[in-house]
Amino acid sequence: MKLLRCPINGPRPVSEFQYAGEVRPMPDPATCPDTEWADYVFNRNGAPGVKREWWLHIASGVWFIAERDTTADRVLRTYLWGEEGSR
Amino acid sequence: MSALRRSPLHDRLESNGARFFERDGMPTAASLGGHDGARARVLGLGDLSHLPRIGFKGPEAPAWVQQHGLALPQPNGWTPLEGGGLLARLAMTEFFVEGAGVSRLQAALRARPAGVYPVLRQDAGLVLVGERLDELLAETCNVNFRAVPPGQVVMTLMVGVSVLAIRVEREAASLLRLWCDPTMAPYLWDTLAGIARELGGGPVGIDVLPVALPQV
Repeated sequence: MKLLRCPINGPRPVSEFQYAGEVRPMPDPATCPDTEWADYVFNRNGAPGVKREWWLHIASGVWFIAERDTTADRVLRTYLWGEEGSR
Repeated sequence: MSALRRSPLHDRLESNGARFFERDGMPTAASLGGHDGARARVLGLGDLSHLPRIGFKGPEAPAWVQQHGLALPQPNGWTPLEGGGLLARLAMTEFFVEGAGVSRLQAALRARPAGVYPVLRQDAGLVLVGERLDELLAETCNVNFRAVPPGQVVMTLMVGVSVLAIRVEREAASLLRLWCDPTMAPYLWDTLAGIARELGGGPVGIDVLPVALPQV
């Protein structure tokens, strides 16, 4: 059983979580060039490495960010949005 | 019976041969056939959906709780209320109240206090009690409730259903209170009842159940 640490509820089996994609800052659609917008809408980064991903703890509705090393399949840390600096 | 409320588990209770009486405006199963007491000692599953409950949230909610003379629980914690109810804190600024104390807070919420917003709670309220509770939990849930400190609320998945759970240690045996979305309640009930029967228990009426939670 894989465990993921929810910043609020503590370590829980990964089956209690939902993956919601990489954290991707949205460019301003009013000012950015079409190429940049198209890149944001259509392209995803599949290169292995350390990813910042959105995860949801289903049972309590907690959204948080997990930093995951996809080459080693290891979660480095998890934190709430806005708490990047807290280690 | 002309009750205004109906338990999401009413059909399940009825098909188990429940003897109903009205409590808190809802037909509630007093007993399910004979031998309720024997089943409850081993592993009883009961429906406590009739208990009144409310939720509220908002930036001023913690201060509002204290204004009403109630002890503020830690986030993911709960405190018993006078008369057997409970106050659970589901997030920094979200609360859940059940049982005694609901009517007073409900009346206070009608005054629309600033920064406190009512949340409709129509959860199914279940209770599991008995000697073989841990065996059922091991089959249905990933949280080791024995390691959870008393006074804590656990939000987890049980047989795939999001539940709010509180475990209370009693002198005779442990008790687990569960709340889930009412639309998922029949599935959760059927699954838990099936496992409880395998373990020598099963559904029981509230005559043999401790409805009020003991003080922590």
